[in-house]
Amino acid sequence: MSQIKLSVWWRLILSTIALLVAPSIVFAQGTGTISGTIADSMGVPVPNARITVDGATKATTSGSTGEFTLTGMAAGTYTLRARLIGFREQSQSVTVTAGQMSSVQFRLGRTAVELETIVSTGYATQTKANVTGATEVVAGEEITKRPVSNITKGLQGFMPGVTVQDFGGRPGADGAQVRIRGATTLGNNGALIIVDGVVGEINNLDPLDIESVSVLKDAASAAIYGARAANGVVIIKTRRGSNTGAFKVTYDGYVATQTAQNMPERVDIRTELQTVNQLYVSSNLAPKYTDGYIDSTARGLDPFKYPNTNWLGLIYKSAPMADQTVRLSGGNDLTQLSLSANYFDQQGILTTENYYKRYTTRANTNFNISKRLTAQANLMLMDEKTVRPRGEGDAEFRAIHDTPPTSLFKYPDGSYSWSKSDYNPVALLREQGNVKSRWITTSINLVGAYALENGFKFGAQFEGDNKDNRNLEFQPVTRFFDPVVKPTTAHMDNNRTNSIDSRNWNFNMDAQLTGEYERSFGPHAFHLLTGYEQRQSEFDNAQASRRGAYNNDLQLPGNGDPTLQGTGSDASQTRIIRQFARLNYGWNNRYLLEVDLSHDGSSRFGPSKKYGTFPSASLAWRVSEEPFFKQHIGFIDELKLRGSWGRLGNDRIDDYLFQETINLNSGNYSFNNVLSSGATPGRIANTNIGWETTEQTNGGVDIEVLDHRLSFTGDVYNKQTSGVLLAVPISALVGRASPTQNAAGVSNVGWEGAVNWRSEVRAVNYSVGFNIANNKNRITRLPGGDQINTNSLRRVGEPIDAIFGIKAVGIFQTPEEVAAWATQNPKTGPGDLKYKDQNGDGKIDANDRVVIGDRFPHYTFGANGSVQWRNFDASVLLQGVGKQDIFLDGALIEGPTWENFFPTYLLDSWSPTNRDAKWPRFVYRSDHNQNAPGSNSWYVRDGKYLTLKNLNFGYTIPTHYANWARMSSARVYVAGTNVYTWSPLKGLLPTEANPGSTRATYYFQTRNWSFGTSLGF
Amino acid sequence: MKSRFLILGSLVMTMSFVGCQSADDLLGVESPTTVNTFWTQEADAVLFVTSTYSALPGWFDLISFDGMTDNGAVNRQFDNRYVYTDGTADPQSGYARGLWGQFYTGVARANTLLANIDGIPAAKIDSTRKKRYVAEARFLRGVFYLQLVSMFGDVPMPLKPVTDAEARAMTNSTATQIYDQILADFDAAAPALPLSYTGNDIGRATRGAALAFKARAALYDGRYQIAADAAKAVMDLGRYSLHTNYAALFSYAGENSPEIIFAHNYAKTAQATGQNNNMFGEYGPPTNSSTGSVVPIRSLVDAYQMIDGQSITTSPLYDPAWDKMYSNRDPRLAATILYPTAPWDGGIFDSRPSPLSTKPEALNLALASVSVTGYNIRKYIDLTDKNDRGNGGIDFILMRYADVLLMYAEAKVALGQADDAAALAAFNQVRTRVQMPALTTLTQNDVRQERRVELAFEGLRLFDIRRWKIAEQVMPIPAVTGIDYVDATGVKVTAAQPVSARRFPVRAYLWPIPQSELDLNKNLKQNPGY
Repeated sequence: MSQIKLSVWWRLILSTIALLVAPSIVFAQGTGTISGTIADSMGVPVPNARITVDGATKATTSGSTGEFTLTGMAAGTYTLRARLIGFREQSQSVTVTAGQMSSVQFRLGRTAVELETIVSTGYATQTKANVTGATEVVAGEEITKRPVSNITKGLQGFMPGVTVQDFGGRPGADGAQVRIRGATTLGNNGALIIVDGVVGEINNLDPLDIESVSVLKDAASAAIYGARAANGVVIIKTRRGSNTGAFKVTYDGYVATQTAQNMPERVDIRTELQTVNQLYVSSNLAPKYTDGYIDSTARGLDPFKYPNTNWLGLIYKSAPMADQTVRLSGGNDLTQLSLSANYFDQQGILTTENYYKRYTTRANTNFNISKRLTAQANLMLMDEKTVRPRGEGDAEFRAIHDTPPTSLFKYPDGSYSWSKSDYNPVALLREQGNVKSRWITTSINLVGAYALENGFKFGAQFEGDNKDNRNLEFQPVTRFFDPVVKPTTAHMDNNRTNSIDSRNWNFNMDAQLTGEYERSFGPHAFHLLTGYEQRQSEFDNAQASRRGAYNNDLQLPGNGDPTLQGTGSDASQTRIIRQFARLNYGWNNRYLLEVDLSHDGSSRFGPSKKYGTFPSASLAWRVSEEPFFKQHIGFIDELKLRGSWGRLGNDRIDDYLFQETINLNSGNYSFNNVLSSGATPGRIANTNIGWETTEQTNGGVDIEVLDHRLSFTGDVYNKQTSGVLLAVPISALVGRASPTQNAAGVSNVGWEGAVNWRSEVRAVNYSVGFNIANNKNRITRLPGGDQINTNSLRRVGEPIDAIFGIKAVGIFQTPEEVAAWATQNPKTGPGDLKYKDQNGDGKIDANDRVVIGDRFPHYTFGANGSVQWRNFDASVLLQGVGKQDIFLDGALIEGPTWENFFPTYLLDSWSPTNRDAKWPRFVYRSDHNQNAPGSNSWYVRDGKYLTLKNLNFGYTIPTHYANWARMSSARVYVAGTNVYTWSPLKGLLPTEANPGSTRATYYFQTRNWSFGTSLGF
Repeated sequence: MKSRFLILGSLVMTMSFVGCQSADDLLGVESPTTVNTFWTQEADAVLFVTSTYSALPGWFDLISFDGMTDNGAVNRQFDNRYVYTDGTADPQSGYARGLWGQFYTGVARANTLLANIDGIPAAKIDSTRKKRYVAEARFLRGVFYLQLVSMFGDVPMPLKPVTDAEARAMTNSTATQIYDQILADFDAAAPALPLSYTGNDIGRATRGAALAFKARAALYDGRYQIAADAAKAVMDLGRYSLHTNYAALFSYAGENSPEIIFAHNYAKTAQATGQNNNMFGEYGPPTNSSTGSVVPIRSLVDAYQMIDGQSITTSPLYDPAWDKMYSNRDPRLAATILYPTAPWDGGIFDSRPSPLSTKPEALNLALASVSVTGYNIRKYIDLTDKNDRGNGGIDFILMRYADVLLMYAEAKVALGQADDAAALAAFNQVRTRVQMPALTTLTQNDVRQERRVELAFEGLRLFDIRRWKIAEQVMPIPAVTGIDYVDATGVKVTAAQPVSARRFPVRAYLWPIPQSELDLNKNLKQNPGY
């Protein structure tokens, strides 16, 4: 290498300038115009179809009435192609005469045409027919058919191998967990998200802004993103304008109502109180309630004297949600743009101030500066706000777990009652202050491309984004007594305000250069792409807090007591440098080869481990293109076999693991009541910290038959991850935290399949589709041995965080049976659970724990159907999981044991008259532990479910009516989301069982009904 | 022109692949807290000494220790401290593992300071203060090893910072070797430590603290002459005296008393960084919505003498009626334990079960925060904190003068000098401070009785019953018992936790070395019986 060390930034700037100033000459000749229309086979105009000209860079998109115009066409004969997802591509020849307008009409037939779908493959797009790896794509319209707050929720059920786990409807924090082909690491398993060409975030994008979402699943597809792609890649494109020759204004919007879905049902009050009485009696205590009390309560005689409080009803309500976008889009030969303003408002379903609001403005512009030089400027400004109660979670938990319905909500004078328990969930929810958060995000994304007629193309992209976040948490002074029952005991008290103001600042800068060369001769087609990317991310944080403000209205830390304060700050930065290349080769469109090579460097790794090389290769054979096949097997339109292998990395680990650090302000101590700062050694550095490496092999097949109406895609894969980061235990004598090492291994093996049928019967267009996938996750290497965390386990040969506990084998029926069994608990009797003595030592204890469940969903599937008849359209989406273990804990299985929430399903509990019960007998209070020691397999339940995820009915107002209202198009629709769920776990929505917690999440999933319109002007 | 683009094109592509080599500096980011600049100035040493103090035994554990003796009980069976009272503690038990880690962390910090302080250039550190930092570190290391050896017996003893590999090669040192080292550390520290401090240094280790801890270490290992001499040396310093009001010593009013020789310092204002304590919330009574996770048991209540200096079984003053049994008792009972009829928070503490009592402390085995014995801890529970339960600031005493006086008396008795006038005088100082009659002669039992009632819930009883080898007599009981009360049918009942039978296998004189440590180090030997 040369000794001249030109800084990389300089080099980048220089070459960008070189690219941009390179001369470009536009030859003015005699030109003509092509104008045309595009309609479907029924003659209905087709907007948004892409029209390209073979052998030229000219392209445009059809407008709302299906019209398009191509101006400045040199005289000559051209082949025009029209294509759109869901339609069969069509080409027509047209001759242009200078100074004249030629016209052309397309009639596109609707097809399955899965293979004609355009997929973003990173730095390029390809039709699915030419893709050699495993990819998926969903068009934005498909997602917006389902009015959802978060695009992650919108992805559920569409793509096999893309698992979306939804943990509830908390406004502003309801992003679902998206996993592609299982979990490859013990740390962050999220996919790499690319928005408009650069790393971005998925959670705050407005679904109405999305043009398409592509997912790269296998190593060969994702390899162009090398070091960061081990968990798969999601490529999102936002909507852009197109050359329609005019501008139009569109409005999309909906209003929705959200209600908590699948709240558990409570038994009637009489049954509940009688059951509690029985429990008291069986524990040799006097019955808790008199018959008169029970009767009065059941009859609702006096709500203050005999309360029957529906706590869940007091905590949850139905709440509105609305999303609206106004967009100006369109363009001419020189400029195309899409300017949009969006306002999303989601109110929470809790009965206190609780919302998420998002304002987004986005300007996506294209400039055709010359015949060769094009540029894009994409600007975005987003403002997000949330308010959430501090008592959230606590309140819902106490409502189910600790507060009987006989506890009163409020006395007639409006003061809170804590009469029958020390909790008042409503007070906990509403009186403990809140957290107000705000994020302001700005981003600028500039793209330049220079194309030559000889097949060379150069691109440069610069992106910068800045995200400011502020969280203000305020805890007021509170002191709530029960004025009637215990006037001297404070049930909820906080004698000082606490105000915590934290600010986070993220700044990312990303620059990319690409060079492409494309050439075809004879049967050979080459496409070479090389590129360079440099990315820098900075993070800063500062936090200040004070307690003891003068009153509850002074919520900023500055108003607090200076002697009761705390501050903190943190900073970090990471940098990534990448070089990558991809070669596509096709022979006769029949044999397709793709080779990728990515060489990535990351600042997160040890000095000698900064760089990694990630190769991949994939091959596809379009069997249907073979002459013999075309001749003999005519009913198969497409048959493609695919195979790939590749190696990918994961760099999403903590910063600075390779550096020795000192923890300042750690080990502080107060001498003489004055705080003195301390310093302690940080985590032990591991200078050899490096990539987590995933090798993945994939095999797949794509088939289309019956005139492209039926399509099938299937894949099998094997993903082996090594060098997974793990804090390996070290001796306590070292006195420091364990260093992180590339030590563990994880395996994911699975398959995916999707089948789609799309056809038309007379005037009815319809389609149905089904997809399903399964993944088997296993830990293959875990130095340091098993890691046990209460009821989850990491162990070689088991899935990550397997459910761990005692195996329950049945319910004891007789005292003799108890006596003959291994010793469990001195109080064990008939009706209690019977545990397996795994080690045969005659007693049941922690040594008898085994793996009792797998938290990962299996056989995840989705099914969709849509139908269109004249101006009416309807669609349905079902989504489900075929096999999943859910571990139930807490109140949901305790019921009357602790006199808390008594769900109806627990009525089927063991008693001498109900020996064939689903649940063990009720036992009084802490004796319950004999039925739930830590965790046992009895409470590991079948979490399979099927959800009617979406229903959508739409009507497109006939054009002449729309025109009369000065609109070019108008559609109205009604949609339902999370309409119904079928599950063996009645009242316990399995999608809410969060693997990170042992208890169900109580911010319930919401069921939404919405009414929306799309208007074009 | 075409060739120009070809050249430009190749340039971009080439650059893409060669650019990396000179870009290494670009990837070389550094953490804001990188270690490169440490150990260059005095402030670095100060920060490290400070963090070494933070590993001292704390309020939570010291009170917990008494819950593992005949003084108290861990209130709930599912608490991880419970297994140390029913004989089922095993090498997997998590509570002892936490303490093992805490004290070795302290040892490692002290060792790191001792190994690095000489690297600070002489011009950058005051030579007198440097000697003090070294002495503080040695003192603290002695305190940590004293905890470790008395909890676990023969443990490994690193005296310099160790790597994981070095740690895994270590073997057990014998308890004798460890005590030798502890005494050597205190001996080295004492002369270099000042007698007292001023300003924001108050609370650091003093010469008196080093001598007093030397006495404790020597006494624990049966080196009575050394213990007596060290205790005498503390007494001869003339700086320490007993706080007049025993009850007030364990409150905000008692902080900075001349009785306190060394304490784990806490401050209310330090809540944001966790340098406060939660004594009121954790060990206070349910009356004030506290948890009371360790509670006194009947055996301790019965151990307090009557004001005539006789035990409850021999004194005519004792009335066994449920509401009279606490009258005329050693005043330290009321200062240490909350019992029915005790005045508390403007009312009367009444822990009899409902409906006899309508108070939050009413006995109720179903409520985890209510004491299973009906007794709650009074010592260190200062009502100043009742509305700020999570934020206490009272220092927890690790060494006080009364302990030194009793250690002196004990050592003298053990040396066969029970008739030593100074020993008797020291002993009687402790009794007369609380208006208990002075004794005229001294026996081993007198000393043990006095230590139990004087030092209850200060984290010392556990190690006293171990070194006296009396745990196997005092620990096994069929059930944990508590208050007496008369039930609705007029029958006198003694509250008992039905499933709390206590056992004491001989192995329990030492806790097991944590399995996690044995797994990593095959050279380590487990204590007998585990």
